[in-house]
Formats: sequence, C-alpha cells, structure tokens
Amino acid sequence: MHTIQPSLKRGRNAWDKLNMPPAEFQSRVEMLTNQMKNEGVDALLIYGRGLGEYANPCYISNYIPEMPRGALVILLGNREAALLFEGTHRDLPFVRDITWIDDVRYCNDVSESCIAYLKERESIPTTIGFAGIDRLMPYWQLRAIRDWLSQCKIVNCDHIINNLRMIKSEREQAQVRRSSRILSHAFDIVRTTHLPQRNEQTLEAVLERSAYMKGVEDFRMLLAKPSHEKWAFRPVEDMEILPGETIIIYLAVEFERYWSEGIRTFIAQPHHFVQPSFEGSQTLCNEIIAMVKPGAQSSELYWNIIHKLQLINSDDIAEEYGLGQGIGLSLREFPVISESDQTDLKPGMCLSFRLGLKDQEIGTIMTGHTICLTEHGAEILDK
Amino acid sequence: MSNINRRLNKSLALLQQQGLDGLVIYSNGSYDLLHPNYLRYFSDFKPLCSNNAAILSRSGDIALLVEPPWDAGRARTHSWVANVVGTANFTEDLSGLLHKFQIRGSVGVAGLKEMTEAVYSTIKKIVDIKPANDLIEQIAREKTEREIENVRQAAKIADSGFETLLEYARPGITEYELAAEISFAMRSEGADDSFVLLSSGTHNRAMHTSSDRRLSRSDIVLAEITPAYKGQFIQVCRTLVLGKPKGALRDKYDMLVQALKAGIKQVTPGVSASHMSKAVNNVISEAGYAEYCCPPYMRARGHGLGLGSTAPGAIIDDNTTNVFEKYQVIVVHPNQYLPETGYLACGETVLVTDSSPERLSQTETKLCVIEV
Repeated sequence: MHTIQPSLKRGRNAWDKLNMPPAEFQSRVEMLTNQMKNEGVDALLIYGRGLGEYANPCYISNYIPEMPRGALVILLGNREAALLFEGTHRDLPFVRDITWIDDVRYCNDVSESCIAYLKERESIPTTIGFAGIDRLMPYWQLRAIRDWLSQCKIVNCDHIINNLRMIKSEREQAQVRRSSRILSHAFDIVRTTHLPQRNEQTLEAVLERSAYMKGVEDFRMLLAKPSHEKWAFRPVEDMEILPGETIIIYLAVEFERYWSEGIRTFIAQPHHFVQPSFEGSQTLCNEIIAMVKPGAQSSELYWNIIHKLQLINSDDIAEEYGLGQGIGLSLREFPVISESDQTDLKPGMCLSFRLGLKDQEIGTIMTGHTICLTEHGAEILDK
Repeated sequence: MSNINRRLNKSLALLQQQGLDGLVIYSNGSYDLLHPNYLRYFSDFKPLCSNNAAILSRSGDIALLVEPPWDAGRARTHSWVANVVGTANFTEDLSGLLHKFQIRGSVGVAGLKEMTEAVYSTIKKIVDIKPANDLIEQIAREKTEREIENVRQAAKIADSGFETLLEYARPGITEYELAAEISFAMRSEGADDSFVLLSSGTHNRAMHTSSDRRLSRSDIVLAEITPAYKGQFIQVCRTLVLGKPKGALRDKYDMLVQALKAGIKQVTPGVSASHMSKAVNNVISEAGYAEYCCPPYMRARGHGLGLGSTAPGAIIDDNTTNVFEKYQVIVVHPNQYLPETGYLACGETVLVTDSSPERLSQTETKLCVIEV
C-alpha cells in the first residue's frame, strides 16, 4: 500500500550480523554475477532512492538512505562492488558500519560519482546493465549517465534483481517473521490499550512508539472509516474516533530492512477498541489464503479470488486496493496478485495479502496479513 | 483576499509576467526538510504516492492530479483546488490535461529535478519546459499570519521534544528508545513529521539516526530535534552530558553558545547570509579552531526552513550570496567537532523580522547536565 513518506527513517538503524551475516550478501553477489555472466553484462548499476524505493541497492549492500536521496551500487563481473550514496563526509563512518562493502563513497550526485568511478577504473565496460535506473533515477541524472556511456551497450536488468528478490532465503524469511511479530504486537496494543482520548493522531503516536521501542526502522499507518460515504484509506488526522465507530487500520513496520504489513477492523468503545470475530469473513479469508499455494500462477490466483468475491458483491474493494503483492525489502515487490502477472508462486515467497468484504451492519470489513509461502501452502506470519 | 486566491492569483500574474502558457507543479511524494515541497505548499495537499501534480493554464484552468486514485477524496477534502483527478496512469492523464487546458508553448515546471525520465519526456513532447521553482518561491516569500502561527506551534512542539530528551536521557536507555520517546511526545502534540537525529558517546564524531547503543555515565548526548507542524519544520540542536562535565566541555560549549549568539545577531533583512556564517566562524576561529571551521568538522552554519521556500538555502556558509528577508525561518547552528570534546550540537531557529531576529523556542541553549 502507498503511505505518506517521512522526512527521515528515524528508527533504529543497525546491522545485526547474526540475523544477516556478510555471507548472505556474498551469496547474493554470486547469484547476481552468475546472471550477469549468463546475459553478457560486464557491470551492473543498481539504483534506488528515497524512503520507499531503495530496495535494490539495499539487497546488495544493506544500506538504506535515511533521507530522500539516491544510492547506487556498482557491481562488476569479478564481484567487486562499490556503494555510492548521496550524503556528506560525516555520514561515511555510520554508513561503513551498516554495509559489508569496503568501497563506500559519499557524493552530491550519484550520476557524477558513478561516472568518476568508471573513469577511475580506466576500462569502460562493453555492456552495462541498469537496474532501477530508468524507472527511478531523476531524468537529469539518467541523461548524464546515458550520455557518458553512449559508447556502451546498455541493457535493462530489472528482471535479474527482481527475480532474485522474489524468493526469500531462510534468513530473509526470518527477518519478515521478526517484523511480523512486531506488527502483531502493535495490533494487540490497539485491542488492549486504554486510550483516554480517542483521537486518530494519539492512536498513531501510541502505536508508532510501541513499534519504535521494539527497534523498527520505519513505521507507517493508514486508517479508514467504512461507515463514511466514499471512504478510503488515508493518513490519520486530528479527528476523534466516536464510540461505536468502525475503523480499519493498516499498519506496516520495517525491522532490520524487512517489512511486514497487515490490516484489521475494529469497533471503537468509549476507551478502547474491540476486534469482533467477524466469523463469516474470517472463514472466507482462511479459504482464500488456502488458495495461495506453490504452483498457482499469480493471475490465476487473482481471478479465482475475484470470482469468489464477486459472489458476495465485494470485488470492488479488491480492484481499489489490490489483493496483494510480494513484500520484503520493499512494501511493493513482485509477484503482484493481479490479472497481468504470470509469475508462478513458489516456496520462499513472502506476500502481503488483503481482503475487503461488504457487511450489512458495519459497511466494510477488511483484513490483511503478511504470509510466507512454504511447500505446504501459506503461513500467516502476523497472526 | 484569501490565502488561496493569493496563491492562485499571484501564480497567474507571474505566468503573464514571465510569458508562460502554463504551470506544472510536481511532487514525487518525498519530503526533505532541506528542500521546499512546492506542490504541498501550493495545493494544501500532502501526497502519498510518487507522482502528483497541479496543472494550471494561463487562462486559469486548474487541476490536481493525484496518484493513487483512491487518494483523490482526501485531496478534495484538503485542497482548495476543486478539480481533483485521481489517476492510475499519471503520464497519460498529465498529457491529457495539458491538451485539455490547451497548454502549449512554454510551460513553467516547479519540482522539475524530482522528475523521472518518463514524466519529464511526457511533458517535453507537448511543451517547452522552463524551470519555475522561483515562481513558487516568490509567492512563498510572503508568509501569511497562519503560516507564522504554524511556525510558532512547531517551536512549541520542539520544546516539548527537548523536555522529553531531558526526562528520558539516562544511563541504560538505548539511542533508539530515547528517539522514540522524543518522537512520541512530539507526535502526541500534533507534529505531522518528526526528524530526530540522536547520537551518544564520550567523543562523538557527528550526529546520525539512532543506533542500538545504550547510554552510559559520562556520555555526551547530541540531539537535533526537528518536528513539523502542518508542513513547517523547526529545529533545535542540543547537547547534554550524563554526569559532571569533564575537562573543557563546559568552556567549549559556552564558546559555541557565544558563536550562536553572534550568528543570530546577523539574521536581519538585507544582510547577506554569509555574514551569519562568518560571525559564527569568527568566534570559533578566535578560540583557536579556525582549521575546524570546514567539513568534515562541521557541515554548515545553518539553513533555511519552510514549506514553500527554504530560502536563503539548504546550506549557509561563508560563500552564500543570498540575503536574509523578512519572515524567513532560519536555523543557526554552530554544530562543531572540537578535538577535546568531539562533536557538539548547538542551534536555534529564528524568524527574520524587521527588527531583531525572533528566537522561536522557549528552552535555553546551554550545556545540559543530567545528574546520574
């Protein structure tokens, strides 16, 4: 889901080498360089930017931009890697603490710095792969790089890194599990905390604090009031939550680079919230999650679920917010559960899954989970 | 005239004056405290997603193009622009609106540097692009009473963040827990964003986002506390020590406070921003640290803050040529690495007025000592 971007990732920024050892990154480099070799790519430029689109360089380096700036990993066929980040000299020691890459450089503009790096190496690669660059890089930086590389063959390599990121290693799955536990805890707080003021902003502040105290890097929240006409998810506002009002809460937390997201529906009481059982919807949700299993194709799954929702006149919510997609280093990854995605679902994929059902009394009930696909089917991580 | 009409009418007048056929104000949905957000300033709408724009023709046709489509209702609630168009295909709908409003020829674009190639080339195919950040900056230069009220409210929230720092900074708490408490206090008071850098140690090298280091006795704790209220950021830079200050720490910090005072004195309309930087550097240099008045021992002596304009700029140093203007919001921060003490944080935000600069936070800039 799309959420408001903060100006800073202000949570705990640390590299726990037990959870994610350097060997994990080296194996990624090996897989990438093997793919580069297969496709005749001499060097790969892997770009990301901002506080929502940094996953590609992070996959290789473990670096995340704390402010909305760019980062680029240059990976050569011989497995040499360099990390270029937009920042200042004072950021350098801190960045070195969170990456295994030795060649780390700060700069004002990653396109200039990339050109300087390639010049410094004296041998310009014949074929250069771009990952994330065409889609994310500001046009003036992209043009500078393309101009300078005009003698080279440039190939789009988004698919290489997207395909690798789709299947999570055991360590990555464990990280998504960790963030999912924090997410579940935040939803528990909604149920159990006595709130003297039922204000949307106060509720967000309480949940955000609970997540940050557990060491998350980032926290996002959206809220919807389905009894309102033309309701939609939105950031919280300085508004009261009235007793008896139904609220749908979307939360996302990022712990040590890995995201988990979930959606729950609550009914406000005078000083707390209850999460009704909504038995019918939970049964349907379980039935639908049971359909998510290895071997199914994303688009087939999409249509199977949509047909089921059409029977109960609830398919329009899925069209608005989607049914779900891959989750990991980013909130939006491949595969996407959509009519156009032909990806076969495989064990090791982590998916965010959401479902909205119309209800005569409440209006709409929504539920969403982060799931991990195993050989036996889908495991809900944020129970 | 309402503030809304002021923005629209002034934009139309500037389009006429500059011979532009239209204006596109773009946002990629990211928020940087050192840079203005022109779309949010102009439209009163804070976007969620990576492609959003206001499109204005010289004849006054206007639309707000919002991605994702389900966020259009929120845009209608918050923005004065009545014609809100939700989109799932930004470039196609942007192109459609340029054609619909018959915008041809030269078009001003604010937020140009945030554009990806797909967005830039879509506009370029239809019109001749002219950078137009200055156009919005000109409008934003005149701050309204409401904007000034928001600045003052942000300052109150920053003070609350600082008081929370004093309350919770104790041996044993981690940096990230302390940052969480500061953010919680500020968010509870209505901050719509919270930029908190927090570092600890006996000899800090710089400020950074919080790590999992636990605070210890004798630590020097640095905090850059920067909440936003309705998009208006305010910053205070503070240093505290857990236990009795060792060595020359108190004297060195007092020297930075003197540098801060000297810098703030220069923040008056018509004075070059470089004078502020030079005044700060003079005090530090006279204390024997001239060689430390440059990166990597410091970053800048201050910068502008604001929603529609961060003039006089994201870095104020000895080479800044812009002059201070009335109603600018300026942080003066002689944040400095000194060999005896490590990095120290010392900074205040002021409002430029006709007379002397108005200090916005109520808490005192001094070395804070926590008895432990």
